[in-house]
Amino acid sequence: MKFNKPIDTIVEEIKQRDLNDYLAKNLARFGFYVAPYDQDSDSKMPNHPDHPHTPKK
Amino acid sequence: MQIKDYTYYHGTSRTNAALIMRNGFYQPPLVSKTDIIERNIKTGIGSLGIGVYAFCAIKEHALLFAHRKIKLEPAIISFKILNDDYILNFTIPQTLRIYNEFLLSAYRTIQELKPKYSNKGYSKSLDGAIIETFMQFLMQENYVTHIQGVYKTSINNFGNYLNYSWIPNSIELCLKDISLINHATIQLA
Repeated sequence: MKFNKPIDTIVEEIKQRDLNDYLAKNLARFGFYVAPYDQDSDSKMPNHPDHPHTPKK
Repeated sequence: MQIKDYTYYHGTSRTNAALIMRNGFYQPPLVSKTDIIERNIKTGIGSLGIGVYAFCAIKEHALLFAHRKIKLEPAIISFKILNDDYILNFTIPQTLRIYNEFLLSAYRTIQELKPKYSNKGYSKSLDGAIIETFMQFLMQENYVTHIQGVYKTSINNFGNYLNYSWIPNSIELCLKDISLINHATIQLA
């Protein structure tokens, strides 16, 4: 595989990221719904508009 | 030997094999920087995501797979690929380092997925969905220009004792871009 940057640089850049929402949102598009973490209430709610448990607006 | 030096074996039904020999392989939807492929898990995606699956070098693996999956009249098609410059290779430490860091950066989400991984029916599709997301991330961040396939060792249930071991019993290539296939080499094996 031809990477455009050195592996060490890529690893360090990813280390600085929070990819929780990115992964959760993309997995929902495949039908895997992950409840997001709510730091205030510690409660969990479905995070995708198509999820059957997501409240309708 | 490099990835491109091996022969690959695709297990399918005789009917599908005849169609492939006549029309070529079906091109699955390509991953792009801007639009992830939407695919309901009910339609099924493999553990390496969406693409044409083939076993590396060992024809019997494709035959065992086809016998288990297709039951009636399996057929094997062999082919070689033109190059491996843009194949995401999970058998080298560089790819594993990046992938592990990607998962660590989404640790909370991964933890939430734990119950889904306990369901063996979903675990392969979930792996595939994570791989598809990982590939899109690599392209969006311009870490790679494009990805034409994914290559990794695997543990397959061939109906023998080998699938009880943690030691991989096969190597699989999932082709995302069928233009990588050397069409002159496609044949019924």
